[in-house]
Amino acid sequence: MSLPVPEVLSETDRPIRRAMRRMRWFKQSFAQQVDAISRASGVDYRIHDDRLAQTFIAWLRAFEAQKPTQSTARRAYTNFASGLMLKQMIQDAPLAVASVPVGSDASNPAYYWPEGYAYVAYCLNVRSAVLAQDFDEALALTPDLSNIRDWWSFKENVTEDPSLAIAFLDLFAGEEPNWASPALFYEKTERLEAWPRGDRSG
Amino acid sequence: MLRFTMRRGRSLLDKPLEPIPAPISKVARAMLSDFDEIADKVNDVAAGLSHRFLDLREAGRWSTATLEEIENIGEAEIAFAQAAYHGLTRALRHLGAEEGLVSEVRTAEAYKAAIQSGAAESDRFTLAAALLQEMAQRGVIRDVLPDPEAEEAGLDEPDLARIAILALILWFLAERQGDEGDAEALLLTCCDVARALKADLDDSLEDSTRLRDLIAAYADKI
Repeated sequence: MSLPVPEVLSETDRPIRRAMRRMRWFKQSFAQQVDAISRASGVDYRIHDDRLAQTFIAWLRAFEAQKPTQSTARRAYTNFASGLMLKQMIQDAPLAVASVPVGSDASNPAYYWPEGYAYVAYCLNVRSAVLAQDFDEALALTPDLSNIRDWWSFKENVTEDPSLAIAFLDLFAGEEPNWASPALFYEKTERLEAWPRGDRSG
Repeated sequence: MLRFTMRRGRSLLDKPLEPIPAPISKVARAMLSDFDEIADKVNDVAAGLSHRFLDLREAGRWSTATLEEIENIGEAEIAFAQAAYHGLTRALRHLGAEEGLVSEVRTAEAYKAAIQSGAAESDRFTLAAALLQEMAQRGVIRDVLPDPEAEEAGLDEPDLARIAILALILWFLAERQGDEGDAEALLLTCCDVARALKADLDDSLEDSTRLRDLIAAYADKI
């Protein structure tokens, strides 16, 4: 399943991980994401700028609160931070659906939960752009991103506990989710994962 | 005397407002705002500033200036008042004020007081905090009528005034990247951020150090 990508994410001349921490860039990139999805799906959205600012401030605080001290944890924290963003978006709901095309297929995630789909697309695209810029990695999306059963479970679970959005985003990104305590970042785990397999027993 | 008469006229008109049905009351309120505006203009004359405020050719000259630019202008308090008037009126509209009054005179006085406090000698965030406090204390914004959406969001008149002032301060400090149109869009972004910081603003408004830290933490996040 290919996700429409905001134009600003294709700009490679500026570090996205830094740009992301400025409200004007966040607002612009999110608006572009929503516009791209709207053009592809025909869903008409409305962005609540005040709620989006609330999302940004809350995310910034959460991001700074658990920022790791070790540079080796940066990649894992990129994944975690994108999950934090998804959690915050689901909590604050900066997007509303104005209209959905008549006869749209509700088994397609883009129509089943249009707001959730836009949030997931944005967070995965930003995550992918940072990984590509800073770690020269291409994000391989799992085929499950288009699996409607996962989206049923996703919507049901995050409605009860928004922090599970962090684990679900890992699932959608093909990473191993931390279902037990998704809202906590474990710097130690990252360091262990960075070691060669043979060294783990010692 | 003229100024006093106008203020007095306003206070006399204020009293019978409450029993008047809403649409009539609204017209009366608008009239009162006009009175205040005229009274402020008279005050401007007394302060020797009105010829500048009333000069349409000069209006808006500093409307999108940054705080740093304003500080380097000869009569900085006048440029500050012009820019603040421009920014606050737009901020109030964006935040959900149906009507309201912004006093250029009180804004200029707030600037002078903040400078005289020595805040500018520390750093730009300390000056910004002093400006915010002076503007809030002097009531540069008054007679604000929240629109139904703002009321529904629990924003009353003092909330809207404080948030608009914080938005203005963030806007004065935020890095400008484009032309005048971008500066206007940036102001609206500052309004949304300031609104998201409402609880922090309420907690720190009386404490200049905490207020300075709040502004410093978010000015470069715009």
